[in-house]
Amino acid sequence: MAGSMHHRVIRIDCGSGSSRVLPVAEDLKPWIGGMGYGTRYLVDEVDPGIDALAPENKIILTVGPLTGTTAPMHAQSCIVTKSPLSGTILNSYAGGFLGAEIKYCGIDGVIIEGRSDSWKLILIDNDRVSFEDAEPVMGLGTEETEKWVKNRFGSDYRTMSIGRAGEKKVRMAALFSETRTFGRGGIGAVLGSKRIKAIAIRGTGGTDLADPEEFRRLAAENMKIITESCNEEFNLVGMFSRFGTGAGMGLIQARGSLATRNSRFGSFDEAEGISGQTYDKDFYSRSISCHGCPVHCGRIHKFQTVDGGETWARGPEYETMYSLGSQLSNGNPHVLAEANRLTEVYGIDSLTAGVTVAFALECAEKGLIREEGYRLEFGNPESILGLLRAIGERRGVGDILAEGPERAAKLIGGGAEAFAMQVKNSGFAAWMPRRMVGTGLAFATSNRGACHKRAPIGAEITGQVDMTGYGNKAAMVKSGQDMVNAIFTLISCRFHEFVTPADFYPDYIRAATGISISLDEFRRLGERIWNLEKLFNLAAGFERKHDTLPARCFKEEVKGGNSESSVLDFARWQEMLTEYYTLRGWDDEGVPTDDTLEALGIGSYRYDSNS
Amino acid sequence: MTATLEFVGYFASVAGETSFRAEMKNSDPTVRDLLIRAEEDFSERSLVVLKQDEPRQGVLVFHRTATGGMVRIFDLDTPLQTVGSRILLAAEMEGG
Repeated sequence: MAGSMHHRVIRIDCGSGSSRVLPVAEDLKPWIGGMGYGTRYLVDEVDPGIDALAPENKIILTVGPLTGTTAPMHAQSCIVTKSPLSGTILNSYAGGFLGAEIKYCGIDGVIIEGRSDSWKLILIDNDRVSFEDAEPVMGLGTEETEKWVKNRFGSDYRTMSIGRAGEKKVRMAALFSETRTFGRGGIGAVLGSKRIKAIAIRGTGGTDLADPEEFRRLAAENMKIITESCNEEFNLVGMFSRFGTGAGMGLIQARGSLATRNSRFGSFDEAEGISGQTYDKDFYSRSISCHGCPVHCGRIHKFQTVDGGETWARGPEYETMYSLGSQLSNGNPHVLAEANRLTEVYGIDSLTAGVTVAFALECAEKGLIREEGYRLEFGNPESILGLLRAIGERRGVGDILAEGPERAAKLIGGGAEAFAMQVKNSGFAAWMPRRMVGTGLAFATSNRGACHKRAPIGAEITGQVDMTGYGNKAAMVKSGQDMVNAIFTLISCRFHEFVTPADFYPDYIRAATGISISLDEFRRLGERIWNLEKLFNLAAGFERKHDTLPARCFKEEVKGGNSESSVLDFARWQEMLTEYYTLRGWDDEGVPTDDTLEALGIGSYRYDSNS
Repeated sequence: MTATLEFVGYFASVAGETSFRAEMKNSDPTVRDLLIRAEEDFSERSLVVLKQDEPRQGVLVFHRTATGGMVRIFDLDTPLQTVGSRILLAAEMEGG
């Protein structure tokens, strides 16, 4: 029976400039695709102890069985690598049109390894790979680079690129792909370490389906559910459709959970000025969508630059409204848009970049750092834009900040680690652990650090559960992490699950690939991946003490608005962490037991603390 | 009794106000009574939050606690007397 996966990957060796098309091993196929494939390849092929910026690290770019099909909200592709920011295993996602193009190349993924002697561009044309000289685009921003590549090689290529930050191995450098971004974890620095400036992909094939008729029925039914949600005035996805992802800042503010001024405050007086509704109302905006998605939650806005010019810029997305907005006490939508554009030019993850700038501004308040040429203060456009440029260029204090918030805190000293809002050097996403305890546990236990994609944000922010309570949060977090890992084997958009019943996933897999899997088995696959990631991290040196939050979360009450003076209780937190480990079948140090690994069908993988 | 309905975020732009105070005429008014009253008073702004007397998809109703927290109200038959007179209307939200 034909299926939607091609069971072939391209392996590209940047060192030798060669490539091979290889079959996907039989034992990999039950891992479905996407994050499942990526995690297995990385764990099987990369030593967890290596430097993430060494040639031995690999970038595993994958797609899933629904990529490039008519299933709505399945445009994303996945990258798994060892993160230079966190030092952990990393998975990161970008939407747009890249995923479908990879699928149309007749492959399920691309493995990039080694290091080139000189800067190159990689062109993938179906399953043929060539290297081109990158000299003409060195130093250019991501958008300029991708425009140049399309002009030079053809506008029908889908592209991804790094900016100067990736070239300079800034640890929070991102990989941009047209209107979307692989943001988290420093993938841009990994590609930069391989001396690859951009990749262009063009596929002229298609994809098959195991049961086309059933698949068409499922996709049509799913599309109906999603479009009905989009038409519901107050529905979450409907609001994303109309205003972008910044639609809900009001509720977060009302609940005293909008991290402000380096997470000292839980509300921001100027929040309304940087919300999705404000951008929609006050700026000339256009919606943008990913391949085959009816939601079109992306936005590009025309705005005035600080120097009086005009420019179009994508975003800002919600997480950026926090990281470059409230967290910096920046209520100016123009400055926020310009800061966001700078992260795009330099090719930096706007989330960790904003968190790091907020940390730096508090360091300056405390007299721990200073910068030549401009003042460092919250809400000051010169400070915000200046520090982003400094990070992107690794210039002045920016060279320290480019290491990420935790590493920078260690270099700066003076107790700065207490207020670097990160987990495993990965900046906090836009949610406050002191106000949302389950989300805090998800941040702390995340295999990639401070991950919001697998946190019980919806349940806590919408009041389904007591957000400052500890009860049942361990179980809730484990369940969410496992399920999201499972749907990331399909690389469903994170918003897909908000409106689509879970029963769709096994049905989709069966109709697309012919693989029969129950919903419980599907969740179990997510858990299996979670444990494999954990084994990688243990071998990379991560222990129980790393599954925690910065001291501010346990020692300082959140101030302002309706934040209820919230602070985490360290003893109850530790009890909750132990409960979480127990539910996972791990020992008190967070090591999966042999029985757990056997039960998950990955008994051949072990963590040897002596190795 | 007098009750206050706060419009959070998107609702503030729909209603054109950030809050609404109403003198509830019936004895022992419920949360639903307050929402119906708001729909009537803001009918010219097309504020419709109920469908068959239950919250429309994505509509969240909370009450404010004394410490500033918010507790979700799932049962609109809840008497206003039992949850205090500050009710909040918000749209479903989970971040990007």
